[in-house]
Amino acid sequence: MSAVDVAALTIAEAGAAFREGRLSPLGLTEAYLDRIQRFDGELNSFITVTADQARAAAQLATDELAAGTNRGALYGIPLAYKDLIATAGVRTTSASRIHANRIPRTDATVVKALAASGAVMLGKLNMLECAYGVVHPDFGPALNPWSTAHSSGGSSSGSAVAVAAGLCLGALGTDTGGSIRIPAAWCGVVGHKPTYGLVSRHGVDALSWSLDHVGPMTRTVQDAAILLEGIAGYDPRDPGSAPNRHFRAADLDRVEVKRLRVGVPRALLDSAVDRELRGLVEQAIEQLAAQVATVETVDLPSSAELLSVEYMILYPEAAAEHQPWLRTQPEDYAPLTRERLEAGSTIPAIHYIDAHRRRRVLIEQFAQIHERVDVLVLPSAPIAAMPLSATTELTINGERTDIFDGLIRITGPFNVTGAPAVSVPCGETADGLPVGLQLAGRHFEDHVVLAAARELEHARAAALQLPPLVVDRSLEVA
Amino acid sequence: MTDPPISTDTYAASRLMIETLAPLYGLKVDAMRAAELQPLVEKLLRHGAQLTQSTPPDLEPYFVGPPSRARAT
Repeated sequence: MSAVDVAALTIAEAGAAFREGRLSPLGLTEAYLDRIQRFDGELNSFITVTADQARAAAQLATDELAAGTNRGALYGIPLAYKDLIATAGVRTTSASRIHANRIPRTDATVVKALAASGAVMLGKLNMLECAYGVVHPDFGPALNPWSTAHSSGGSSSGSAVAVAAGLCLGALGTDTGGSIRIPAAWCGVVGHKPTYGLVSRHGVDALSWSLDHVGPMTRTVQDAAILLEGIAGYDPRDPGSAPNRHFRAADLDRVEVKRLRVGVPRALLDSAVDRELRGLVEQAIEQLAAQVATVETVDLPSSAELLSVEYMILYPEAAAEHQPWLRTQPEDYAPLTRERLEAGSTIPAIHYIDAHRRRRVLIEQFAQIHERVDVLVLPSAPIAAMPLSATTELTINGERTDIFDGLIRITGPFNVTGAPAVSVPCGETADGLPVGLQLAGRHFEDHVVLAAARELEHARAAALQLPPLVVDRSLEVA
Repeated sequence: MTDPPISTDTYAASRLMIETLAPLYGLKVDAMRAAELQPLVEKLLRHGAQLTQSTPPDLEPYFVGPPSRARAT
């Protein structure tokens, strides 16, 4: 039995190691629990570690494998979930004092699906409070393992940190304006926001019903596809769930990447993206260009309009969701969360309705762009991870801008349209901070977007990197 | 005939909207809190006003549902 470096392991490799008897789910689970104990005191990516539950599930998977049963690619795979995804009997806090002691009685649909696949839940992951962009002081930030002086992004910060640091094989996050893709980019992992309606949101705390998405965060694109297959599918308990839609990881292999037409919104790169980051993104686009049919410049709809539509939907929907607690215990929110929720309560209905009217036009405009190109390529964030000291503003090419505006301008358009978008690592800055490339496509063409991202990942031929904080302390199990 | 442009004083509008929070929703918003909220509310109302002033007529909203329902008819 050969040694396996669990910190650099992928879901696909773990599955193969299980099948070949080189590794057992219980051994792998114990290895991750050990790593969590050793490293997460500093990183703070987990809110709750469900060690006993994980060991029991891993033991069952180990016994069944020994008896010749295998329930598929996620069988015995140790995962962790953002702490706004309901888990029966396990505290689900949304990283907020509002829900600090909430223990759901039932699992979210995605948790049920993964449990049925035999996945092992290691615990619940830290995040920005209620997925609304602010660290609650009771929970503190999940620290970026590439540089603890820099932000891990958000709101799925713990999910990105845990995957990057090799504390689990994959994680679930949620994305309302970039909350999967931004932390994935800043922590050097893959994060996929699926097509709206492909993955159930039932049992997941809402921030904005019509913008929220649940998706996978992993070390490789192939792993993201494997995890997406485990959670995709129609759910009648989610009003936004799309009937008769499925996702199969094997569909990536059927995509003829060499025939894909790629569009690059260069005006957005010129106006809204840091110069060093832009250079790295251009290099990645050149690498991708060698693998696809064509690369051409495209003009996206007005980013100012897209931002207005996102805000006029996000703010009032979040305010509506949070009214009960905003009325009775507003002091329990972090100050900026409370401010955003109260401000959202002032939005006139006509603005909310007009945002949904404009949303229809924007979706149509993107559909017209996709008559010419199959995949759009742009950065996942306008800058690499910002310093933890930045609280309300970030600086892009010397110009200061509101953090929320600057980030959501790049990722939010695909929440407004509901189109699939993935962030894949594409390099690192001179300071050693990871940079992500975002690829987006047509509705329900998640397999096309992921296939193109996987091609870039292979073309870069970059070995999976471990952050310096944990690289020299990875554990080998036999 | 073209409709006259709507004049929007977002500062005045923001003050008015913030004043509704306590009586309409029972939120705890005193004078100090109102002053803290005002810049963000004004910014958001500016976003909304721009959308409302430039949205063409006869356009049905897109609400939650499969994207195929979003295509213009």
